[in-house]
Amino acid sequence: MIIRFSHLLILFSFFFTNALAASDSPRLDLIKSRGAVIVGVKNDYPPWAYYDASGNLVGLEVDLAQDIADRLGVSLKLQAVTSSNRISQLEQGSIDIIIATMGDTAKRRQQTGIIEPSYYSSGATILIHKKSPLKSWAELYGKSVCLTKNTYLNRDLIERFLLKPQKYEGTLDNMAALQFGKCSGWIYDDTALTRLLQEPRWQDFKAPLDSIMLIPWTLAVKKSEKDSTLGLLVSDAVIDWHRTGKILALEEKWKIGESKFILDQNKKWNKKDEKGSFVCQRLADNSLPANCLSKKSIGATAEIKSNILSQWGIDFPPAYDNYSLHLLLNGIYITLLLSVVSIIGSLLFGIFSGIGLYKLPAPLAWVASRVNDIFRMTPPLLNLYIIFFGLGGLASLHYGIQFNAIVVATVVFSLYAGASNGALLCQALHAAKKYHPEDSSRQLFASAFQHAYEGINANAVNIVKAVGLASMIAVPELISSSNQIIAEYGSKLEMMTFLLVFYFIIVYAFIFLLNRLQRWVGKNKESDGELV
Amino acid sequence: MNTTIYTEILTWTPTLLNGFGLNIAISLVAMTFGTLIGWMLASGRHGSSRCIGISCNLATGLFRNIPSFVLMFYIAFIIPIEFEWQDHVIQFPAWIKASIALAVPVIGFTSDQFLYLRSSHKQNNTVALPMFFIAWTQYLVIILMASSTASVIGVHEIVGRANTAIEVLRDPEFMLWIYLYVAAWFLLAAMAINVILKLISHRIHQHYS
Repeated sequence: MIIRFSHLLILFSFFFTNALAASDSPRLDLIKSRGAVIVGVKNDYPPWAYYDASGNLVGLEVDLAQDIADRLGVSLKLQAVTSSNRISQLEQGSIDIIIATMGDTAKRRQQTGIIEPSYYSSGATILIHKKSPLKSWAELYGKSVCLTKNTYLNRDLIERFLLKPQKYEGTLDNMAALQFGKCSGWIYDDTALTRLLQEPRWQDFKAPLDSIMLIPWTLAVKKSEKDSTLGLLVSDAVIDWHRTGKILALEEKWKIGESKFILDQNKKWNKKDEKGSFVCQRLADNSLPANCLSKKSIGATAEIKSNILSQWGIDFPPAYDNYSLHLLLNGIYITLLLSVVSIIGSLLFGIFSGIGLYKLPAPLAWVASRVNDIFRMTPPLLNLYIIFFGLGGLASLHYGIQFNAIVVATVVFSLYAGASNGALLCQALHAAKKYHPEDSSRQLFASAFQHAYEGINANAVNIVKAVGLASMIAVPELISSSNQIIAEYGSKLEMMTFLLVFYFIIVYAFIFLLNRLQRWVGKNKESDGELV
Repeated sequence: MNTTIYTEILTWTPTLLNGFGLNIAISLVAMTFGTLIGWMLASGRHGSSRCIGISCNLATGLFRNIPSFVLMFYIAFIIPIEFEWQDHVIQFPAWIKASIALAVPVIGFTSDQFLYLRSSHKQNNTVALPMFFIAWTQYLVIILMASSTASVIGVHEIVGRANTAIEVLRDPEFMLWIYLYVAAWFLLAAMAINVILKLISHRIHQHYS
């Protein structure tokens, strides 16, 4: 009975949608009867849409508009729009479609018919001198950076990277500031910067980092037309552009340079499953699979975000997005790995230097002890910089050797805590010798280790507290991955609170485990004594 | 090290030392406020009210175990750069944020130390106060080392200034030497404090023995 009923429903809806198809879009009917589609484009945004020398609107977006007109089988009429009037013009009906460098935001989704998937994406990237050692966004924390005055990105950038901004008016000012080393780099819209880099006067500069704070660009139709035949037709056109590589070709035509977003989209929409059909294609209910849409537009879609946390107004990206969950878990894994390996390293170095300091003859011991002091009494952050950037930079310059950041971090933390462990052990060994001069060196070591254990334990906990410093040399540990999630989703408060709570728990967990270990070692020692 | 790097480091030295002054200032501010609050917590833990005692114990545990580096990020992200109060725009400088973050572990540490001091005082242990002073000064060294992390939230202390110098000169060899030079200043400061401590504790031993 139930099966029959559902069959009936499918049959019914099939006829229903088919019957509607011809007339569900009054706008499409109007376009057909008018014989032309009116597309709103910009007129001041080369090479996307601008007036050429003879006063015609040309550009990449104009080419896309022409493609839409061809698909509709009508002629193209262009109308210049601005950022402030494009949506009202669309909703009032003076244009049919917007193709005007419009970013996908939650607010615009309420106002108008945003078409998915997005056809382009812009973000912020950084222009640096070719000699600059910058390798990751994390290295910019707290640095002086050039920004262009009155750019919408600025506020977010300053807050996310805690920058010391130097704001300049235009291209020339920023170039001069960069040349004189007033700032580490110039962060600005990536579409503008990649174009600048093609000019000969910028040949000493590069933009090596992936863009951040990506905003997908989207086409739009009138809000009531979003799910109509017109909306679907436009959406299918965008999918087709990604599959056929049309936008890649247009990027070449307009000398914009391949963008990573478009390359990714091209791959994504061409991916096939084992049966040979596209992984990303329109589902039966005309929607698109969520993992085929860009992350930011998922962020803007309220339905996917709905989970237990969001009911409380908490926006925790790992709760609804696999990509950020993966980032977070990987960050946790690296943090734990770094902690455990560094603790083991600090124990080994501590035993080595402790016994060394104890056994060496007086003048040598004095020298060794001063060397030990160097590791103890210099900030670990500075030691990370010295080895990774200082020595690492020279090694790659002269010998082509690249230092591995995780290895550098492990060595620095092991030496930092290990040197303290060594000093503690040496002291304890001297004390043990004083009170039990007849003990074998093995017994001496055992009792010295027992005495120094509390301090060694505290040093181990300090390692766990310090591993976050590794984020400064671009180790993808928890702070790095949280910052990356913040940079892409903007959930600052949630991610930072998670970080703090996580660290609190993990420090407690390590204290608990180390205390257990101490008791276990103590017990074993007692049972050893009984046996003897 | 060639002579140009040597002269460059000399020219940058006044700037770097001014930055190091900021490191010392941040550390002292963090130690002062941390010690005050730690003392209050210790009094609460020792007091007659059981309820206050438990909450002060919990607070101490909390402050003891939060990594200052993570907390620094947290405070830098959460407290705005500036805010309005009665039509005035009040700036919230980064060095104050750094001091707050560094004061937190000091609270945990001094709360424990004060508690220990009180119980030893009751047993008429006369060395307890000097021992407290020595432990406090050793902790100051730890906080001074940690103050170098303030550079990542935009405080223009010695490491931040070294980074500026590196930007200006763009020479990989200079980068290595200036970082080593800055590390040497930290080492020198730590050793100076340790030498003074040794002299004082020697005096104390003489005084009490």
